Amino acid sequence: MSIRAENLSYIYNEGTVMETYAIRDVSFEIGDGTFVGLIGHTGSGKSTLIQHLNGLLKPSRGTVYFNGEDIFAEGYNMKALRGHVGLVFQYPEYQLFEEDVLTDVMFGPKNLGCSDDVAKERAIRALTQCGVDEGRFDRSPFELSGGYKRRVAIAGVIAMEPDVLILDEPTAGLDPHGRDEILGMISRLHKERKMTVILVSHSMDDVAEHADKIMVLNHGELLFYDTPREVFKHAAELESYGLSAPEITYLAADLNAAGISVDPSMSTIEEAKEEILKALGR
Amino acid sequence: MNIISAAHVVYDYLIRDENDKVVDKRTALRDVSLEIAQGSFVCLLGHNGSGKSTFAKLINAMNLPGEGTVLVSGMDTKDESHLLDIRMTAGMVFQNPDNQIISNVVEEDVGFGPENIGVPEDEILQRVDEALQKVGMTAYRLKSPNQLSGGQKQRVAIAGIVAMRPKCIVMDEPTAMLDPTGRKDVLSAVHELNKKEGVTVVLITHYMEEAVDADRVVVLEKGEIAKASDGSLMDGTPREIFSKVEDLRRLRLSVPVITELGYELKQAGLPLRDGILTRDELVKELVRIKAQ
Repeated sequence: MSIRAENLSYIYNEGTVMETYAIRDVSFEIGDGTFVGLIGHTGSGKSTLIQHLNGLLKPSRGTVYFNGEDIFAEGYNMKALRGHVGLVFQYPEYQLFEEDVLTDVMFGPKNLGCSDDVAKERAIRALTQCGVDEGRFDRSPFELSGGYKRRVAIAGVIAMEPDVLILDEPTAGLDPHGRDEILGMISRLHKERKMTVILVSHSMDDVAEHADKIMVLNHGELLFYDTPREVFKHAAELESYGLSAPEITYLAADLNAAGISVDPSMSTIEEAKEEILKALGR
Repeated sequence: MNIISAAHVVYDYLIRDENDKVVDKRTALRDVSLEIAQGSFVCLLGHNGSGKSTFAKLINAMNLPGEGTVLVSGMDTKDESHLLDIRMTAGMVFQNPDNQIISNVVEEDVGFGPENIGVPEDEILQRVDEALQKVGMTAYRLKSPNQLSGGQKQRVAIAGIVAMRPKCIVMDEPTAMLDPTGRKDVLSAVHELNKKEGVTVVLITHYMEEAVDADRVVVLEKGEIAKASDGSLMDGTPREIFSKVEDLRRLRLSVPVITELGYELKQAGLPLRDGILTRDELVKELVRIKAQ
């Protein structure tokens, strides 16, 4: 279930003086079951890029291949693609609309042509995986707290049983515990269902913790696409693009400067703990 | 002197049916008493639904307490004759900059507030100059807010409040929608205002790192000031509050990354002190331990 972008460009007002590239000549391949963190400053083209991956936006140049097939070729089954590539927008809870939670989550699978029974079965499974208990199934989604609304909205996409799950800042506006819960849930889906995940985030710490690979966009261009370890080696460069490395990576530099030698590319609390204990001979 | 003093404040959200009849109520604040000193930088923490935003809106009389009183510079927010003075004393900045900007040109947007209260034109221009300079946005004076990044827009929104020369700025998650640079710029602008101009800042945030440089941190839980497991109120300096790692976790919050690492290392047996807040502090402690 690989996704491959080839020389992808998206241009606003092409051919006029206002011509602007939202995405410029981006190529990459995301292998089956990879967890990718997509980072970039506001306006770097992250949201534009992900909307190409399930065909919501049509590129000005280049194309996207899903399992080797050009998704923008004539006659390609876009509807089926949207069942394979699920996209969770920013603040997805604004898109809840049904009278009760279960019906809301059933909407996606029904739209893909599932029978009521199958849709219900899938909705229940998705809600359970997203940590929404049965007691909430027949409540109005609008009565739920922000964190639960967000889960229900994500369950709506999971119920379509996509192979690739793309989430645009799924933790924005949540409290720390809510953030951990949502990220933990995504991480579990990734492991248990071998789902490919593309997570758009502003938090370097979150991305460092969960992603196998990190994609960095700057003004629509692909700057890095590598493991967190390699990407965070470029801390100074990231900063010049309005980003930053995780706090722990900066700590590594400070510690090394102070004569406590640790791995300069450590990026998570767990790694730092091990490295520091080792350096102090504990 | 206290610029804000809330005494035994209760606030309920009333739930009405189609006929506007009150059918239920949800208590957002129950018996909150909190005094905020003039010129201080106070961070309010708490999980979603803990009552932070409700409290913030009490400060500039957008919400009026059901029971108890809120005094802003000695003025009771329930006294309608003070409404304008209260709003001029305490300005608010919200989460989404796009909802707070009304004009097509940055300087007009910043000047809107003063113009609205009848400040003479010369003085408006002077206030706009000052306000933009204080948030580091002078270079964008004639730009359209549409061309700005999220962080820049938020700084324009802050300048709009600064131009009103309030004694206090209340900010409800001003950085939630910003990228790391935008967050950093907004925070340093706010700290400057606090230090140089003596503006009181009440900052509501979900980012624990942003609370590290505050004078005081207050944690809310279920509409009250949260209690630690030892029974004390979760109201103190950042170091005091972030030393209570277990309590914060129980309250669905976290601690700054460096504080958490310090805590983990201590649990693993390193003789570190509690409540380490910055990289510098942690490095110094580790160097000290290494030398032993």
